[in-house]
Amino acid sequence: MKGIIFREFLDLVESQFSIETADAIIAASTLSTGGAYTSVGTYPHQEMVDMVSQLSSHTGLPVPDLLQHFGRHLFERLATHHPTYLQTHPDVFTMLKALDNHIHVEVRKLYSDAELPTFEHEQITDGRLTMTYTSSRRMADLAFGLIEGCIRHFGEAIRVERQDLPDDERGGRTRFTLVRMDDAVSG
Amino acid sequence: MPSPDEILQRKLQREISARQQAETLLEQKSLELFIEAQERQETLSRLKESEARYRLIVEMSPDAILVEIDSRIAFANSAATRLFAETGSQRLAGATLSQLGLANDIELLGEKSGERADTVATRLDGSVVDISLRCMPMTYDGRNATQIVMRDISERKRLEQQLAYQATHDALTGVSNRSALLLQLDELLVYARRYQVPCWVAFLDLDRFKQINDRFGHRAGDTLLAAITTRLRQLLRQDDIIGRYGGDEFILVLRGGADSILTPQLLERIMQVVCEPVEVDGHALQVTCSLGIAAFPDDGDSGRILLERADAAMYRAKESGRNLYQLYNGEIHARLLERAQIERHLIDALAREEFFLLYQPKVEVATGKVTGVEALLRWRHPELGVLTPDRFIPMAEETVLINTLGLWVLREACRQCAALHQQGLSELTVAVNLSARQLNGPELIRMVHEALQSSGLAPSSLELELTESLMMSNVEQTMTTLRTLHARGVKISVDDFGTGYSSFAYLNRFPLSCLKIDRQFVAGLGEPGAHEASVITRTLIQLSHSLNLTVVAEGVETREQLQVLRDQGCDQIQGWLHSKAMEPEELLISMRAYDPAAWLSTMR
Repeated sequence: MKGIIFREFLDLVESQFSIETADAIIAASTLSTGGAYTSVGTYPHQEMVDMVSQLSSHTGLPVPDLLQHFGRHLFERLATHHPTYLQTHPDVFTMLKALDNHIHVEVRKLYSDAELPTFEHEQITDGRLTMTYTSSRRMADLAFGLIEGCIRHFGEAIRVERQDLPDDERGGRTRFTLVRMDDAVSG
Repeated sequence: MPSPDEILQRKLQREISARQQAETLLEQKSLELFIEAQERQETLSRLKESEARYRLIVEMSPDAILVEIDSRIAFANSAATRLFAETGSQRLAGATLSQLGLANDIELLGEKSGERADTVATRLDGSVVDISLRCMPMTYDGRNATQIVMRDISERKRLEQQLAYQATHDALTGVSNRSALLLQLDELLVYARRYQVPCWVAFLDLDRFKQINDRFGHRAGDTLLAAITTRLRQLLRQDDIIGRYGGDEFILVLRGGADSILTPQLLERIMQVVCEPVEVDGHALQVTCSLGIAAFPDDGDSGRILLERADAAMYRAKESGRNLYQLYNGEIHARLLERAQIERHLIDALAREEFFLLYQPKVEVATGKVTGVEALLRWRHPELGVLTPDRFIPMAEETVLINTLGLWVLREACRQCAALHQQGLSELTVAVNLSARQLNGPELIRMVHEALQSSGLAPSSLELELTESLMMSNVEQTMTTLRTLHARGVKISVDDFGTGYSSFAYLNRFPLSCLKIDRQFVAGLGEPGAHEASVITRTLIQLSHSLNLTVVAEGVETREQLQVLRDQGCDQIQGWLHSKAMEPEELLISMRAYDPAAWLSTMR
């Protein structure tokens, strides 16, 4: 997992909770670099899992909620760091559909060692899109938060339904169905 | 619970550590980039080298290479530039395929990548060149293009044309050769048949041309042939055909039309231009010709038949004395048919036992004693009756049949002679005629040996008769063969003496026992005005005696002839006056009853 995700996570913990909380979960987790992350580095995914569960213990909030919340925050941060992507993808559906075919391709050019999830999409109707998340990391909650962050960023009225699917050989799978509210009304 | 300072201190430590990590990563990444850049540089230089290598190959290629994009030349190598003769003002690059005369060829070949085609291209100066062409699709500067590879095949084409000419023309005279002539004749006949016009095939054979070659050399003969051809060409019309059929044989095919038929005047004119003298090395060479003519459609409707019939007519012209023309007619036709009948049956005649031998006695003039017999071959033809050798031996000589027939005669004569010996005629010798084809040394020796062995006949009872011209045709080889046979005890005699061209210088070098005077000289004896014939026989008899040869006169039919020959000292005679040729049984009966003294007394 890229260092930027860890940094954003720790920044979020510091800002949403406190610097002490961040320090505490770092101390409580088993981390390869003692919690020192550079955004261009790559770190074991397990460290994120560790820190999130420590945060959950520390705050009493469930892990899925924390990850979902982090996802929403992370999207906003990424949008700030990479404004050009958002210019070329002017709405939620375009943005999400470009994930696998465009954004992840670009990420791989920069970080050939990146282990990325897959997002298969299917445009059912103009107002309805399904995104199937598949990853051995099982971070569907984080993905959910990212989708929500995206919707919030573009300010579109879209409802997201989540359905966990049985695993396949690639890992855990979750289907997100995005329905534009006007479509839902008319449908 | 750590103090805020401690917490900040730890955060600072983490930031420092992260920064160090980042720097390490940066260095690592820089190194990777450096290595990658180096690799790229190497790849680039390899690419450049490869590009240069291929450019050199393309430039050095003896084949002209063009690259065409949208029907225009985008690239041309040096060979292409040379091929299309580019000058300062004419640039090949940018020229169109149509300008080079290649547009259609490329379009046609485009679908058959790699296939070769021969075509004609146009140079920038407008001249044309024969090329062999191949093209393949390619990408050039990212665009669809065609690579065109060409080779100048002008030289090959020139040689092909030369070969084609040589294959159809006679090298010496420039007229059609035999094979081309036959094709042209067939083509003409197709036309003649369709438009119902007549035409004539004339077989022209120069008379005694061999003598010109023998006397003045082949170069002189060739000059004469070329001159005659030129004259014939000038005489005949453009669309008549002249071809050289063989050494001194020409075929003329004369076209007829509504208002033109073959006239005696034209034939005489042809013979006239042939016999006009030609000056070679100070000699005025002159030769006459014999012409045989067959007409389409009256005498035949195929080239083969017309030629065969014109040939037969030409032979008749030769027989009639040469320097003549002869139109094909019914009589020649009948002879041709007979020849065909003979040919058809000849091959199986031996197996069907249709050949048989007759024997004609030779008689001593002084005593009336029969000394020997000559074996004479006959063929009982199923349709034509009994034939003498002159009717079928020439045909047999054209095939291998002559060898088996020759062997059969030799064996049969020896066998029957041996039988006659056993039946009391023990002093009888048998003479067998040899043909030209049999006089092939080792084979003849083997055949004679085999015939004597199988019959048990003594070699001294066998006599081989050769004609004078046969003996003289290959003197050295004949001499060796005859000496071998003579050494074994076989007698050799010269047949038809006086009709050929014997060289007396050779005559006494051959191991001869006997000389036979031809019947044509004997025929004239004893008749009024026979002085000339008598001089000849006397001379021949004297010649024979001075060479210590026995002399036999053939074809003796009258007492007068016998009288003259006896007076001139002739040793033996053969002919109807004494007896006809007989089958062995009849011969035996006749000989048993024969009384030499009684016969002699009747001849006094």
